[in-house]
Amino acid sequence: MLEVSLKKSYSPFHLNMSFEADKGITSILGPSGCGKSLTLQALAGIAKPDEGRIVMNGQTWFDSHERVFWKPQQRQVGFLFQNYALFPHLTVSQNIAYGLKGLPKSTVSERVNTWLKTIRLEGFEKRYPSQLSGGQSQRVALARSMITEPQLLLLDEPFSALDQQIRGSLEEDLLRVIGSEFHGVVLFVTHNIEEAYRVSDKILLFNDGKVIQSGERRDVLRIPQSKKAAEIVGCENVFPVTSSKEIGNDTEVESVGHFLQVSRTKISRPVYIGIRSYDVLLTKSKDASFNCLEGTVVQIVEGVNNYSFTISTGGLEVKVEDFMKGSKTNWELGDDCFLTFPKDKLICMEE
Amino acid sequence: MGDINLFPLLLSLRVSITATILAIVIGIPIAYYLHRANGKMSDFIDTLITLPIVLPPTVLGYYLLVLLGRNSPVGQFLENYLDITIVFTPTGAVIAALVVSIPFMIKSAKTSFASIDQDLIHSAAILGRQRLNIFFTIMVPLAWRGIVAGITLTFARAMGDFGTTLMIAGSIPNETMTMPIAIYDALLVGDRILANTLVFIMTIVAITILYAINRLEKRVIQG
Repeated sequence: MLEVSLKKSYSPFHLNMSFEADKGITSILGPSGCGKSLTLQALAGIAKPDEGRIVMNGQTWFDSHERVFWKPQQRQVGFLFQNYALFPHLTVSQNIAYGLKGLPKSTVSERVNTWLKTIRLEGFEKRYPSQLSGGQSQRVALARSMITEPQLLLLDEPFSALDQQIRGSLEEDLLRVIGSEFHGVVLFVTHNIEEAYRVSDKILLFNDGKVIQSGERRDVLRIPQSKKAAEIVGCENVFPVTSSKEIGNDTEVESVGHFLQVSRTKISRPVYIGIRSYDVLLTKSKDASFNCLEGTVVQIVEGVNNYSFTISTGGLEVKVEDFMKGSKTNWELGDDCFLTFPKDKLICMEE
Repeated sequence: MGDINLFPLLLSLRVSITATILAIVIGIPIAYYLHRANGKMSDFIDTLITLPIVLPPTVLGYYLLVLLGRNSPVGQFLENYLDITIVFTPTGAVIAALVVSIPFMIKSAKTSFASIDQDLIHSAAILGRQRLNIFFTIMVPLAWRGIVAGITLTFARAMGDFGTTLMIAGSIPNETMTMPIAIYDALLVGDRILANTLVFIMTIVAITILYAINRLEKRVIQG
């Protein structure tokens, strides 16, 4: 269990956040420059926050009021750097063994060998980092940080330096190793929603030095609570709300002259209304009595697995994704169409 | 060539080797401090350290005379309490060689410390190693090329110094006359044969030592 609250100002940037993380993998998702890396550095003790508290499993690592600041050497942290930070003058074995001190040689080599097996790099012990591929380097770096049995494992964009093709298999590798060998708190920093969703149980959304939303990955992905959160989790359609009122169990909102009905949520006075591009229904005829708008197809982009349409409807530009490629009606630019927004798929958002 | 006096050569080697060792011992900690610090103080120290490269050797020699001479407080202290005389002694020659050559050690060690990826240092700290341990296990090996380059330049400069050494240690035959001064002296009295021989020996020795240092550099580092 990790409890964090941090303040640090790097003018004009301010980090001001608090969050908690339990055992298992928690993703920190946010655009570059949102304070993700700085937060990891503060947790590892490389950067010192101006104010705040870091408590890990009951141990206080940092407390500005009590003047507690544990050095990186004292905290039991594993840190996987974006560029792996392998020591170029040491072999694979020496790299992995670097964090083990004061143990007899035989124990060290035994544990290094076990790890070499776990990361499937037997026979590589005498190689130097310059002789390894990106994926192999990453596994060595992972073994090096996990062999010390840390309580907290920090992964700083571990896949961003790798080719798209090998990311998938590396992700599996990483999850396999962490899943079988690690039972503490893992924080996984990324700017890729897909990655965050696949890898983690919980997601923290960071923006501009703050945590703007946190929760179970499904909830965060399905129901972003603000315009910025919607942007980060890839919800393309976000429209401003000019007024809203309650009708029965639903809320009716007005957006750019259109009236839409939305299933009631905790947010009673939404400022924005959003819907994912794949939740919008695109039809040739008017299929529903409400939440159905007439529009024109203004853009068609053909992807590998889908078509993306942009539909213009009375002041709104709506993105629609159709994954049933080829199975449906053929659309041409300029076609008239109808858009239906299922009321349970519309998301109410705050500022 | 039978009765060449080898004293200047031996003195030069002794002086420059001693100065180089002192430059390593004193210079590397200074370089380490300078590469981490970024205050006004460290800028000032950095400038002060670069000064010997820029100033004419005679000016440097003059400063050292004023600072360490028999009439200066430092000179008197050394003479009265530690029984060390600097002016017109081999010790003076070592100090002259050290002062003119140490900037090269500090500059190149500092540059190579600064070019080490900070993530490596952070990694080592997170893996539990203390600062001094990180210095010897990570920083020195990774800065090795720069350090060796610094040693080479330092040694070369120390071996070749003429002006500063002459100002402080003088040119007393068989006492403080180093190789460069002996060559000048031979030329001055018109002994071309001696001058030629000394120049030849000096060149051979310099080449041998630089070659040895180069081998030292090659002996380390894979990455």
